[in-house]
Amino acid sequence: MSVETQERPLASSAAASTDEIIVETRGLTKIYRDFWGRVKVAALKGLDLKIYKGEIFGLLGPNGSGKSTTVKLLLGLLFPTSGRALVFDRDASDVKKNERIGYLPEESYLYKFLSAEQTLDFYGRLFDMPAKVRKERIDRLIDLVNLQRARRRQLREYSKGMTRRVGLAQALINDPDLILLDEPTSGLDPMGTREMKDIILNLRDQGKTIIMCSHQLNDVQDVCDRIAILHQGELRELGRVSSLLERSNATQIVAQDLPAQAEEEIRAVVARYGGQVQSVGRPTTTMEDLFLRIVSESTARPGRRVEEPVERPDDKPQS
Amino acid sequence: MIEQFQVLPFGEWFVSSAIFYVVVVTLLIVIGFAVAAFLNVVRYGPLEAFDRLTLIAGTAFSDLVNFSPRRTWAIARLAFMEGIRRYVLAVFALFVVVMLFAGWFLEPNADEPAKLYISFVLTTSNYLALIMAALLSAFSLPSDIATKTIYTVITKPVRAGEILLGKIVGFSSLVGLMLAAMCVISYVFVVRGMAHDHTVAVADLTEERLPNSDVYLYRGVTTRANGHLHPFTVNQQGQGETEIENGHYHRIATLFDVRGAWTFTVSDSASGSERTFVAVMSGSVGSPAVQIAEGDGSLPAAESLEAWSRPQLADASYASVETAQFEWTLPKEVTGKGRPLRLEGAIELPVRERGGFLSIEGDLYEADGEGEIVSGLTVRGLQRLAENPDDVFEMQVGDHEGMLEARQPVYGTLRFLRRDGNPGEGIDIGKEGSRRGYVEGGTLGAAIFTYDGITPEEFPDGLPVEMDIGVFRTIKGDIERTVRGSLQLVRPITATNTSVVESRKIDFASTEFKLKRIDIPREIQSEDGSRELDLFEDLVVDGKLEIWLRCEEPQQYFGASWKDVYIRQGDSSFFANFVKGYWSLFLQSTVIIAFCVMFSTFLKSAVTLLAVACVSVLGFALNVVTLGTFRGIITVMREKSPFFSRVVGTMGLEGGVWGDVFQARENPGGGVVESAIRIVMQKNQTIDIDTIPEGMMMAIRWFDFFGMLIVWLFCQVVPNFSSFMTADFVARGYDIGWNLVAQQTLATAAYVLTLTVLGYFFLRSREVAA
Repeated sequence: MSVETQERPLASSAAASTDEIIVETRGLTKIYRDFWGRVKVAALKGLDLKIYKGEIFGLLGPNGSGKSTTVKLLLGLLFPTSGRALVFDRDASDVKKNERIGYLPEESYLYKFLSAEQTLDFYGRLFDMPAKVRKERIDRLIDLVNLQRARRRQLREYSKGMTRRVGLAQALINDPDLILLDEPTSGLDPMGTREMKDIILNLRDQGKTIIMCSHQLNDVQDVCDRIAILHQGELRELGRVSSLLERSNATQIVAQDLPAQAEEEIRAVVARYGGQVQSVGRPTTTMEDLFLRIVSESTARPGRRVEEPVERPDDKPQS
Repeated sequence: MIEQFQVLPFGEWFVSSAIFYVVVVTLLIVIGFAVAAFLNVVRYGPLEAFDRLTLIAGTAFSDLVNFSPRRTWAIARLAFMEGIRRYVLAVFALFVVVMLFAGWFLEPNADEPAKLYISFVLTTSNYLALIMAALLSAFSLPSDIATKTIYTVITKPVRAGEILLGKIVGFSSLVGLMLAAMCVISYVFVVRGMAHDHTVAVADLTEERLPNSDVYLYRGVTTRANGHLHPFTVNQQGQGETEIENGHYHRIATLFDVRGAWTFTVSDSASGSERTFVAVMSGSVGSPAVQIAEGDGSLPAAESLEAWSRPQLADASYASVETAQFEWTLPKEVTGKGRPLRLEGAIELPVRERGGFLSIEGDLYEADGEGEIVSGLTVRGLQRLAENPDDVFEMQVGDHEGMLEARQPVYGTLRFLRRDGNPGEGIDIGKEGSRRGYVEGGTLGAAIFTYDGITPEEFPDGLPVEMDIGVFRTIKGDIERTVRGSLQLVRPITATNTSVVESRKIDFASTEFKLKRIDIPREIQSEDGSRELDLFEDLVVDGKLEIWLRCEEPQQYFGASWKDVYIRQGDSSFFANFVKGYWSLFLQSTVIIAFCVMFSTFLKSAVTLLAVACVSVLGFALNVVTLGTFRGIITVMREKSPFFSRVVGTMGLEGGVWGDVFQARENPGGGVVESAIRIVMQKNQTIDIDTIPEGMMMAIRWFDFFGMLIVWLFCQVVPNFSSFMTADFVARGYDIGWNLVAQQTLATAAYVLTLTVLGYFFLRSREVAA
C-alpha cells in the first residue's frame, strides 16, 4: 500500500466544496418500544443532517449514543419511528439506493466458509455484475487490501485484521459513491489503521462521500472533514474538524536546532507583546509515528538488532 | 394409498386448480392489504398511511420489474454451499449406513419383497430429505439475522424476494442432488435385493397326459431361492412359466443339447444310394464343431457348423417353438456330389420322448448359392439320447417378472346392479370392505366397469385385464378355496348405439390377494354361442366398452372398487417410475423448504420448525380434516336452518357425489370444546350433556363451528401432502402417470411462487437490525 497520502492534500476542503446533498435526514427519530408499546429507549431524537458530496463525515459519540442507529436507519436496516432518511434523494427503505452504496459493518459479518475471492464474487453477483467485471474488480480490490496471498483461504482462518480488510473490499466491490464505515479501524494494528485511513482519504480524493462512525477520536481527527457528535440520541455538535479544534487564542511555534538562549529571547518577546508562555518543551513524536518508523526500518534491514541490555529497576526480582 | 388418487385429467385439474388459486391469492392480497392498512392507519394516521402503502406497492412493483436471475442464483449458490457445510454429508452418511444395515432386517422372503424393499427405501429417503430440508431452511435466514451477516447482504441491491427464492432454489437443489444420489443407491439396492436364481432339474419333472389328447404337460418345482420356490408347468417343448410366489413369476425355457453322436443318412433319390455317417457334435452353442466319419468311421472329416440356433429364452412365444432351426455345411465327402453343400433343417424337440430320439431332417442347398435346393438329396439324422435327460435338456429359469414393474392401467367407472338386476349400490359388508361394493353370487347382481378409449391401435392383441377383487365368503370352509366368477364383455348403450351385444362369459376362479390376469382375445363368441364377435367391431362403441363382473357361486360375494379391475395398457420402465417416485419426494421437500423459508422471515428457527410441522400435519391429514370439518359444518347448518336443509333436500345433494358430505348425520361428540367437556365430564359421544344449560351449550357449539371453519380454511391453502405420496405406486408396480407428475410439479411451483411473494412482504416489513 502506498503512503503517498501521508501528506494531507490540500484538496481535502476543495473536494467537499460541491453542494450536492448525498444524505439528508429530517427529524430522524428512532424509539425502541417493548411488547406493550412502552418506550424502552429513545435511540435517536430528531436528527437533522445534510451530508454533501465528496466529504468525509464523522459520527462521534460514546457507546449507545445513536451512531450505529443512524447508520442503520440510513441503510434501511431499521425503520424510523418518525422523520425521514433520504439517501441519493431516495427513501432509505428503497433497495435501489444500495446500488451506489458501500457498507462496512462494525464487525465484518461475512460468510466464514467462503474464501476472500468467493466472498467478493458473491457480493459482486448481488450487484448483477457480469463475470468479467467481477473478476477485474476482485483482483483490484484484493490488491488494494493486500490479501493476495490469502485470497483462496476460508475466512474462518483469517485474523481479525484480515477479515476487516475483506469487509472493506466487499464494501467497495460496486465502486460506490457513498461509503458507510462503522468503526473502520476497530481491530486493526497501527499499520492497518494507517492503511485504512489512507484508503479512506484516497476514496475521498476520488470524489466519494464517506460517512464513518467511530470512537477512536484521533482517527476521526485525522481523516474527517466534518463531524457530528451525538450523545444520548441527540446531536450535540456539528461542524468542520479544523474549526472545531482550533484554539484561536493560542499560537504554536515548532523550531529546529534552536540554542537554549534563544528560548529566553522568545520568552522576552512574548512578554513584550503581553502574551503568556504556557509551556516550552521538546515535542514528542506520536506512538504511531514511532511504531511505524521501527517497523519500516526493520522491513528495510531485516535481522535482529543487537543492543545493550538496559537494566531497569523493575526487572529485578523482588527480594 | 393408490385408491386416494383418482387423478383428474390434466385439463380439468388445471382449470379447477387455477380458479381456486386465483381465489386464494386474491383473498390473500385483500386480507394482507387490509391488515397493512389497518396497522398503518393506527400507527401513523390515514394520510401518512396512504403514503406508506403506495410506497410499499410502488417498491413491490419496481422490485418485481428489477428481478435479477443472477442475484437469485448468487443467493442460491450460497445456500447450496451453506447446506453442504451443514447437514448434508451427515444425513447422506446416515442414509448409506441405513442402506448397509437394512439388508439385515429386510426379509427378501416376505410375501411381497419388492413392495417391502421399495417402500423401505422411499420412506427412508423421504424422512431424511424432509428432515434435512426443514433443518437447512429453517435455520438459514434466522442464523443470518442472528450473526448479522444479513447486514452485508441486504445492503446490496438484492431484493428480498430474490433472497427468499434464491434460498429455496439453493436448498431444494441440494436436497434434489442428495435425493438423486439416494435414488441411484436405492435402485441398485432394490434390484440387487430382488435378484435371485432358481434352477430346475429335468429328471424331477412329472409327466401328465391331458385327457383325450396326445398333449403332454410336465410339472415340477424350482429350487429354493430367497426363501421361496415356484411350482410350474411346461408344455411338451419345455416352455412355460412358474406360478406367482412372493409377487413374481419366472419364465421357463428349455434348451436341447444336440451335442453327442448322431447317425446320418444321406439319401440320393436319383441313384437310390443311401450312405450312413456318424457325426460327433461338440463345442458350445456359440462355436460348435463337428467331426464326421462314414459308416465305420473310416473317413474322418472336420467341419464347423456355421450356425446352430436353438430355442432361447428370448423367443419364448411358447406354443410355437417346436423345432430348433439350424444350418450346417456338409463337406464334399459327405454329400457325395464332389462339392460341399449347405444343410438347412430342423431338429425336432419332443420332450415327451426323452430317453428316446431327437430327430433331424433337412434339405441340402448349394453352399454358396442362394436358396437353390439340390434336388434329390435329403438328410435324415437321429440321436440316441443319453440315459440322463439332464445331459440333454437344460431348463432355464428366467429373471423374476411381475415384481419391479410400472403397469399403466386404464381405469373405468364403476356402477352396480343389485341382486334383482336393477341399478343400485354395491352391498356394504361392513368396515372391512368399506371401500368396495359387493356383488352377491348367483343373482342378477353385477359390478359394471365402463372403459373409455379402447381402440384397436392401443390394444391390437386384445385386452389384458387385471383384477384384484375382494372375496367375501358367507359359509364356513377352506379359505384357500377359490370362488368362481365371470367376466362378460358388453356393448354399452350410448347415444349412437341402442342395441346390447354380449359376449360369452369368461369364467375364472378368484384368487384373493393376488393379482389375476385374464387376456381377452379379439375374437370372442357371443353369449348364445351363435357367432364369433370381433372385440372392436361388435363390442366397442366409440371406444367405450363395458365389462361385467359377476360372482357365480350363490351366497358368496365379490367386492370391487373402481380401481380393482383395469385394462393393462402396457408397461413403462420401472426405473423411470422409480425416478418419478423420487421426483415426488423432491417436490415435497421443495414445498417444505418454501414454507420454512417463508416462516423464517418472521419467526425464529425453532418456531419455524414448529410452524412447518403444523403445516405438514394439516397437509397429511388434509382429507380427513376437510371432510370431517365439512360434515360438521353441514350438520350444524342443517340443524339450525330448516331452509338450508330444504335446499339440500330439493337439490338432491344427499345422494350422488356430494352425499358423503351433505347427508344429515350425527356429529357425535361435537367439536374441540364440546369434546373436551365430554372428556372431563366422562360423557360419551352419544349422551346429551344435560348439566350445562341449553344456551351455554349452543354457544359452545357455535364456537366449535367457527373453530372448525378456521381449521377448514387453513386446510384449503395447506399443500395436500398425501397427493405427493407416490411411493405406493412404485411399490405396488403402477406407473405414476405424467399427468400426475405435471400436476405435482405445477402445484409445487405455485407454492414456491406464492410463498416467495408472501415472504417478500414479511421480510420487507421487518427491521433486520432490530
